[in-house]
Amino acid sequence: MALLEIDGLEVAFPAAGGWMPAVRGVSLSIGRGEIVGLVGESGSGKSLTALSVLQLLPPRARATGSVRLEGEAGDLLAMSEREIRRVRGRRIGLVFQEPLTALDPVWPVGFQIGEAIRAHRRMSRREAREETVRLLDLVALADARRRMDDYPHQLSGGQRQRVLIAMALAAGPDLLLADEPTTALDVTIQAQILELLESLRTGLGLSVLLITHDLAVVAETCERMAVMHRGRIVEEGRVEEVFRAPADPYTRELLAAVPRFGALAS
Amino acid sequence: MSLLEIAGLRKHFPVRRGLLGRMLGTVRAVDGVDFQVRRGECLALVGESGSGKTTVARCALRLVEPTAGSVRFDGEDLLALGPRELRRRRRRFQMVFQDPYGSLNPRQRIGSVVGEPLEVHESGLGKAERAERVRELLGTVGLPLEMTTRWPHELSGGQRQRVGIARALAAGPDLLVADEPVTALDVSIRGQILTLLEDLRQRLGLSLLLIAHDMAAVERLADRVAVMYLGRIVEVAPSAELFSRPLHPYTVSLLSAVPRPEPGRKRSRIVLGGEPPSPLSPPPGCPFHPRCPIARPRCSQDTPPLAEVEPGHLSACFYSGELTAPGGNLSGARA
Repeated sequence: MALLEIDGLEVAFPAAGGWMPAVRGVSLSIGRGEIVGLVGESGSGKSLTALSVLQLLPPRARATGSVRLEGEAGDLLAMSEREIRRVRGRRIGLVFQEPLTALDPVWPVGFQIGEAIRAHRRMSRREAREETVRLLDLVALADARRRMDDYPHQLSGGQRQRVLIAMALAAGPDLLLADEPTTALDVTIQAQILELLESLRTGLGLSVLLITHDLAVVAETCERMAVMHRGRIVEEGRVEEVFRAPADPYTRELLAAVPRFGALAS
Repeated sequence: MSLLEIAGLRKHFPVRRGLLGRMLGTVRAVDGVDFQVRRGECLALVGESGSGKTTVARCALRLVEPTAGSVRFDGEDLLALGPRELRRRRRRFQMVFQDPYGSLNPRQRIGSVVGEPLEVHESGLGKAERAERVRELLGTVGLPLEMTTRWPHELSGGQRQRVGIARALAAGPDLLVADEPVTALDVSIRGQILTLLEDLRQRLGLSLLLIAHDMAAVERLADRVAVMYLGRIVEVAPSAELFSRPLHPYTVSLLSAVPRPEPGRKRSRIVLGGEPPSPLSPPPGCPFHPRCPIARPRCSQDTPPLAEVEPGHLSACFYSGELTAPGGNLSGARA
């Protein structure tokens, strides 16, 4: 089986006189060491899909269907809070778009990573500190031993994103859910972060679900992709295939709207 | 003939701390910039956050006072003008802002937003004439006439940006300065606003100073492009030339880092290490040398001047043209 298998996922919110569907029957699988792009515009349901995998939806939302993870007996959607906690972080890590709001401004970043480590593994503070340095080196934060005592505001956007990825890797997950991880960054820094995800894939065999609105990022980073529109996956396939011969009219629209320059413009 | 001529422009911001305002240092946001915008031309300033491109635009309009340098508009030194004269000149150069949500007064109807510059710059107009001009302006930017009575919140992002452009045009400018005019808009709307700007340039003979980081927008509108890094211009070239044959290693890396919707293309991304240095303490020598893939000892000692490498193509690098993107230089290789 694939590492993660989402099958017939439905997410709905209570609305006047019933339920308002936001994700409608999404099925998607991610293999080991694979980077899969989940593409769509704001409101298409791509973030909700990722959040439901870890039972992180807003309390009022209802998720049905099934989510299976290799090595877990039960359905992730049906797990108790205690069971799903073991999956969060340890099996599946999460990286958000806003590297500033996702970090606590009043603690040094190294301390925050240490907390994430100690939440999952028995370690003394000193051991956790050494492990933090190792993780920060892994995500190629320059001068990690010194930077770990910095507060989030002292780091640049790209450095904060590295810290968040380090934190997501703290418990050694098999899969990373990355929600628009480079959207807030300048292009030369975006290139660094995409390169980092690629190197984690080849180095650790990490799988990544890359959620983005940017088809160009998908083209450069992913092997497979799924396009979401109004809560549904309207197209799925190998990236080269989808770009070469998009079957769905919405995918064609999205592809036509991608900014192009140089010879690509003509 | 140049409409706008910027020479030796510097803008340094002091950084102070505490009650006594102890000086901690100086942020060199713009550190010696020269360029011209010719009549009827569109010049684009590109660069990443913090490169100083917005500060350059603000100095060019004298919205902030430069620390040093000269700004000449149509041959006249703008920095020598008193406040009243400056205001009178302002009708000839107007600004279009990035955020169409923040730049319109929410309590002012669209007709009044567009009509206000007319009150300031053409106080001789009667009420009916002014209303007529507002309707003309709305037509020029492709908005229906009934917009005059609408409020900003009733409009979409694209419509608001059209209002912002109509307001800038109301004064009858020769030069528009557009700071990231499409960045805040949805991808599908961007094209429409770019088409409008293109069309206005041709119909009204406007000159345009475009500040942008979206290369697709730049290539569509700009005749020439100036690339900024850490407060300086590192390369200037005609647009087609810059995109097909960039000479400065920063430009080469920047263009190669823009993701392209072309799966399976040979990876030709140059990934720069590190981050742009702080403008509080720029490195000695070339500002790009700490991240430059081809830096040599000389680069950390001498600052390379912006020099003409080929006719009309300037680059501030001792080794211009030596770095090319692996797998061919972007678009040029395919053309």
